[in-house]
Amino acid sequence: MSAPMLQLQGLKKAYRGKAALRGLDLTVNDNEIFALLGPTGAGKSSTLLASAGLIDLDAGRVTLAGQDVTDADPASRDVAIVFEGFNLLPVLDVKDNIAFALRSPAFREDEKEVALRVGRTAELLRISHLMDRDVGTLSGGEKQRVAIARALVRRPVMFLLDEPLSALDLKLREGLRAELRQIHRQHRSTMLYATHDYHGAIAIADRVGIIDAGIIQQAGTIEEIYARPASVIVGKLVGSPSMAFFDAAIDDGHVVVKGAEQRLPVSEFGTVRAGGGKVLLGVWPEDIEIGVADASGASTGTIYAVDNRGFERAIQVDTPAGSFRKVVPLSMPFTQGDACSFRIPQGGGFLFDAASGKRISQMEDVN
Amino acid sequence: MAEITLKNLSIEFGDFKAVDDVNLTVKDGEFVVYLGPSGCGKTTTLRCIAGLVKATRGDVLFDGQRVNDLTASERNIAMVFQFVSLYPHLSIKENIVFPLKARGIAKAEIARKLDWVTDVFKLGDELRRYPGALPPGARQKVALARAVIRDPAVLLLDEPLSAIDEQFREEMRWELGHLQRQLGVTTIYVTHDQREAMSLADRIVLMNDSRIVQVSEPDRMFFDPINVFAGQFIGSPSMNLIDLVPVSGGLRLGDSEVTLTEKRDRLPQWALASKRPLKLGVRPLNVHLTDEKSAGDALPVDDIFSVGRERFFSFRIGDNIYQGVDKRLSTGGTEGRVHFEPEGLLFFDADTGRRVDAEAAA
Repeated sequence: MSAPMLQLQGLKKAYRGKAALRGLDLTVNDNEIFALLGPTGAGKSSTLLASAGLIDLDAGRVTLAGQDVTDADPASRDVAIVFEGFNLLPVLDVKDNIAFALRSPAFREDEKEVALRVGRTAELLRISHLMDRDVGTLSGGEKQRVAIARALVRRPVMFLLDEPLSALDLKLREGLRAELRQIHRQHRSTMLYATHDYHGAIAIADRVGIIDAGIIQQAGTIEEIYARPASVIVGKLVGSPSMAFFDAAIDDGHVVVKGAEQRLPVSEFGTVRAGGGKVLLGVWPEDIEIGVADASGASTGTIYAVDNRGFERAIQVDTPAGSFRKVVPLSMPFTQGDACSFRIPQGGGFLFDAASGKRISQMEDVN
Repeated sequence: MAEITLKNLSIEFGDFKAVDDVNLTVKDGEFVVYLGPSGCGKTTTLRCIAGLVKATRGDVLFDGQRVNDLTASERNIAMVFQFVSLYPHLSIKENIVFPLKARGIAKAEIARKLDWVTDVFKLGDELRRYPGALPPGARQKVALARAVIRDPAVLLLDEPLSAIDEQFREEMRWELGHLQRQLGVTTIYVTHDQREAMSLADRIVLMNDSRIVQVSEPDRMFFDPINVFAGQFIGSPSMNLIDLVPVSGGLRLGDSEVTLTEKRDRLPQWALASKRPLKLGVRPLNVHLTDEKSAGDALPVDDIFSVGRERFFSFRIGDNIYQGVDKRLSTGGTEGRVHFEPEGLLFFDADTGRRVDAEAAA
């Protein structure tokens, strides 16, 4: 276990009475890429701003590289932050924008070193040919690269990246993601990367923190989250497609899915903290078995819509207990309106409290 | 509903050819998506079908009838744009029935039509609310309901999802795909997003530089691109494009020492005989990890990282970095060598970009 680079404890922040952070705890380890994954308004930007010291917290502590920096001003924190909106300096050309931080009073380097580092970083981000241009003449993608270069040129103890790629088109995003990983590998830098894009998060991160309503709902590797999703919210934000949920009830030692044929013994779910009554059955779509209608012992649904993805297609299945989406191979020629059957395999599901959304089933650890 | 035909359609603005000799028939009830980079002529084509832009040459036919000289309002088209313009002071219900009221349709008929769209669009509670109270995705759905309530000959959609927040965009895409098939209305949809095109279309019309590059069903477009442009425009992560030099005994990959021996027979003899430089197109999902060191096309792997059940990796040929994704559950490949799946190999002429290993879709 490596040492924590950034520790956030009990962060609270409200803007005009509206809470953005509600007691957020988060630890980012040294030398890891940590993705903060959550929808718009979840508190991602506030978390990054608080880490950089750019907002005044209502409560909580921020520890950076072992130092309590809660009351330290932003300039003294050795972090680099990249926003979605570039915030480049319009009066300077590309070269001087990148070099800006190396000439700041707190982190000044000599000009020979500045030229060397600026050149190397520009090469890495493939913007060497733009060095003398005014930032006003750059395209959106070029501006974003310059903004990233400006952050990377300094070797701060930590990078804070707020949706850094979301304004870019797909091809550019793929390329830059690979470059960020490359930079991380070469410089062993710690990164906190905020995004609402599941694919973006898992493609870059060592660990992921699921954030919603101003707190971290769950943190861990994506494998850990898959193995033990903490709540319905986590299930809805993780996976592609995300977790399937079925209205169900516990009755006579069985989980009975509304309108479905299958009765699943409660014992299949491990230890369950509920006597009976309404629950939500959550299943990762990859685990749902699907086939043509009338398979014996299976439940039935209707194909609501089909999403072609090239190597595979995704389908949305409507059932009396709710709808779910799943990726199926091209060899399954479902079209809209078709009937299909589905089964939840033994031990393939999780039970959640219908009211609180918290997981109430607990499998024993395999190891 | 109608069948829409474009016959030798050219649209010019002064010296600029926006659309250059385009031929296409959109079948009754079909969902056709025009896909291409900005400035390729897709939106101009759509606006010409709508009657908002005049054809310089060629014809636009609705069910075989030439409509070149009809105004937009005479063509019975419905159009939905990127930015929805609902009447903010009218309720959702009043917004939806507005086109019928404006035409003086009988009350009973309006009620019947409203029931129909309410049912198909599952509107219910929303009907009494006002546009300002709905999220952007829901507003776009209302705009769509308003567009189809008067049975247009064709529904024209210009980047209808691009202004919607990414989180709602996927939801709306599912809805749109479902609704179009429920309604059965002939639909022409313009987008620059290949994901949307792949997801929604019965057929994709890929355009570039004012001309049609390829017209195909999504699967065919993906597996059988006609040229480098089509291969690289469709699919994510992008298709790898690797220099290929015909040498005796096979095809050498770029500057490497590695020679591809399989699939050589799929190449036309002239391509090999001419010793013209070729490009190998291979999608990352057709590149696997292997422990097999003897394989002729095994290349060293640069970087592997696992994500859930997938392993992403990169490999190098000369100075170029390429991508692979292994979705198989096997634990093999930890030795770090790559293998190209023979079925996934596409060959292109390096100069013209054309496919040389097969007759791709016309």
